Amino acid sequence: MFTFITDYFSQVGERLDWNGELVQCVVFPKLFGTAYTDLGFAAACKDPALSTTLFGALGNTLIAVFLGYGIAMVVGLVLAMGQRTKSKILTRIVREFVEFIRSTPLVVQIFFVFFVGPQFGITLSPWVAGMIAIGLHYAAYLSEVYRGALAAVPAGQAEACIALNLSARRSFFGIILPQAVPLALPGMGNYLIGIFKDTPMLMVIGVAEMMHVATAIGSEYWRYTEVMTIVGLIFLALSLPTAALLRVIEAFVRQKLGMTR
Amino acid sequence: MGSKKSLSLKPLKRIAMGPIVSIYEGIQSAIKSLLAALLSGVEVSGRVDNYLEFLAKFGDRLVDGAFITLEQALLAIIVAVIMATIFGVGRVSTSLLIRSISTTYIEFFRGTSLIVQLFWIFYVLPFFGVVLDPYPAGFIAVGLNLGAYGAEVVRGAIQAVPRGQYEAAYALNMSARLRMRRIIFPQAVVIMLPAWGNLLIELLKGTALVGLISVTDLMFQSRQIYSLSYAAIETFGTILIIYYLIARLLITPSMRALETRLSRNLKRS
Amino acid sequence: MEDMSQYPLELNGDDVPMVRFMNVSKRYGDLTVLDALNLDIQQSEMVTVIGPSGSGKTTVLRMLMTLEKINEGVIYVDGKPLTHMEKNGVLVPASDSYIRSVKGDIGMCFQHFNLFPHMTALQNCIEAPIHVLKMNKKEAIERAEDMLEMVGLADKKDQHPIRLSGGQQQRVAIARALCMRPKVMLLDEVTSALDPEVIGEVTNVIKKLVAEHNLTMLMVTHQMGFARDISDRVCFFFDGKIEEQGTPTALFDNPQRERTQQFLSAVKSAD
Repeated sequence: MFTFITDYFSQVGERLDWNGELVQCVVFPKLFGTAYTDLGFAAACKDPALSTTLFGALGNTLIAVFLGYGIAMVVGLVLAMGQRTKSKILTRIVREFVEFIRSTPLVVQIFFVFFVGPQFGITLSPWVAGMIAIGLHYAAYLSEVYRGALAAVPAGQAEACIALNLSARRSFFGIILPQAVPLALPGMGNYLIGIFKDTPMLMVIGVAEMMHVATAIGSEYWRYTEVMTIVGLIFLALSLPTAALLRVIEAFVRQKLGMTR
Repeated sequence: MGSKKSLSLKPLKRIAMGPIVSIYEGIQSAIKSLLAALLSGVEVSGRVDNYLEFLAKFGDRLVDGAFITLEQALLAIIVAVIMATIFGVGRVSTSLLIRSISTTYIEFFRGTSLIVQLFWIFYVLPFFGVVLDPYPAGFIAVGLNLGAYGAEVVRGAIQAVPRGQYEAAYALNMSARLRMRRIIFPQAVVIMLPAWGNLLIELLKGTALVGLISVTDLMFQSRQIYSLSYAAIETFGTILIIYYLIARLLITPSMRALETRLSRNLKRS
Repeated sequence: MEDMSQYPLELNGDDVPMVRFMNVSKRYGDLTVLDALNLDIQQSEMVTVIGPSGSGKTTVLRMLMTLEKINEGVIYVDGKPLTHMEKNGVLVPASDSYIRSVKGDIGMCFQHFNLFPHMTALQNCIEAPIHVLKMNKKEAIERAEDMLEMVGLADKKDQHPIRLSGGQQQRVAIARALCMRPKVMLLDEVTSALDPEVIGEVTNVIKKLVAEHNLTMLMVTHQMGFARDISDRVCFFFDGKIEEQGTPTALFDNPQRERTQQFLSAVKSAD
């Protein structure tokens, strides 16, 4: 079954037979991004995704992760602060918005953002639409993490700030926030990995991330086993060590801020 | 590679018992007729000019899609709960082998995307001789994925049962199995329910992906409707609201009710 | 390795104690909690363990319940080894199933009651008799009702623990343990978590137990007056060893060792 693994380490030249084992030789160049032009495939590719290799697409996936997460961190803070204002109406509206985003599927939100624009004459590229949708979706999640972390800082800390006559700015950035950060880290880490695992949804509007390229390769040659397995393994190989690394960072930050004994 | 065995599970409608099927289909057609009655005055032309026309034209598809989504969610919940229970309990087993198997399952399904798992089950399993229709492939993938998250919830809940409960059961000379079955697990269920509320909403969201392997759920219907109407805001807006309503009016309240019922004797009123 | 041949495979003779700790040691890493403990408890004897916190007194009970593994020595219950079993003529660490077959003779009550919160008082009492002793349900209920009657809670049998006071919960816990018909009963600070006004109802039940039943009991308590009233023997633990033991009168009125005197006067001044 998994002879494809040895195929990857065999000579390309042996695989030039068009009528024989065509399928397996295609995956090899796709994976490492070499030699496929020799086989004359690139010109035949109709799908733009097919001109990208799986590893090239991994690059796109990671770009999507960091762009999306960047947007989510900033917008999430806005959504969290929006629920800490004195205005009850604003709090309520932001709250409902966050709940709505969190309880509806990201993939439909991606469609919504991508297709609604043109109806009003605004055409968004797949990348822009995808980043807005995924950024907003995770902003809703991160706002909950921020909110929880800020709420978990004991009320006595804010009272102590008032007692010491610190300015509102100084008490938030100097006292409350540093204590909330380590509390927020585990949640933030989880959602970083979550966003990574959700990027394949961008394939539905044609962003050339890993899964899109993988299905394109798969459908072109009706050979899904290898590409799908490799994509799965890439996900595992990245998400498991990242999760471990995040735990280390978490422990480090806690220690730096003197929050562990 | 042996001969391909076709493992094809029929949709819920067909495997369920007769009376349930008729009630179920009755509800579905009642909703459709209600919708039709409400929109009886609306003229349907080729173009979609307003929202009522949109509903009159595509209402039936929306209802069909919503019911498929509910079926998928329900079946996925069953798979997820079974997997979560088996592997969540397995995760705290004293046997290293069972623990490792459980950890592998959990880490594998939590470490990769649902889409990858869905496509893998649908496209790759046939190479191992297991051919699944889109319908069972859909809810099995969603169930297995959420089951892994659920297993962590189950493990956490089991470990959150006070140690004194274990000690008291041990002092009454109960066997490990009996302790888990009668003392620890029933209490863990109450502890884990709030987390399951969130998980079920994640599961519902997860079912939106089964449309990608052509299960005719809400998401699938939305793409069809969009390609027929080009009414993006109506189509995707309606679909989002239906998902939201299922989550907020069906899942959240039933979990709340279950919580209240189960913790009735555990918390002071 | 410890030489196991110094320990008899089982205790024989006329004067077999109900419980025997023989050279029992318990360590957590470098910390020695109990150091070569030797203690015999006779049939129907009521032994109370007192001592400062950290002296290892609760560990004695938990070891006997096999909630803690021991590092050295052997514990015998009713003549049979509990922590070890015979294999090819020598004692080896006991398997779980062997331990279960012996520790059915031991019952225990805890500081925090540990009633099963999802079961009523009666269900708490019949759970183990039905599923462990394989009694039929009717008999189990009869026995449980008798025991609840004995602790004065017959009218509360259908209440869940959350609706019972601390004192009532502890009495249900005692009834639950008695339903298993243990030969040895362990009471681990059963009054420590209770409000002062309900301590009496629990101590009265224990006094009744001592007076009416033929139980062997081992109790850890901070209540010196109660210990003096009902014990046959009091052991003062200090630093993982029995510093002094004797009848309540001897130990409380005429302590021989300096540490016992210090401890007792400290407790007295706190009261």
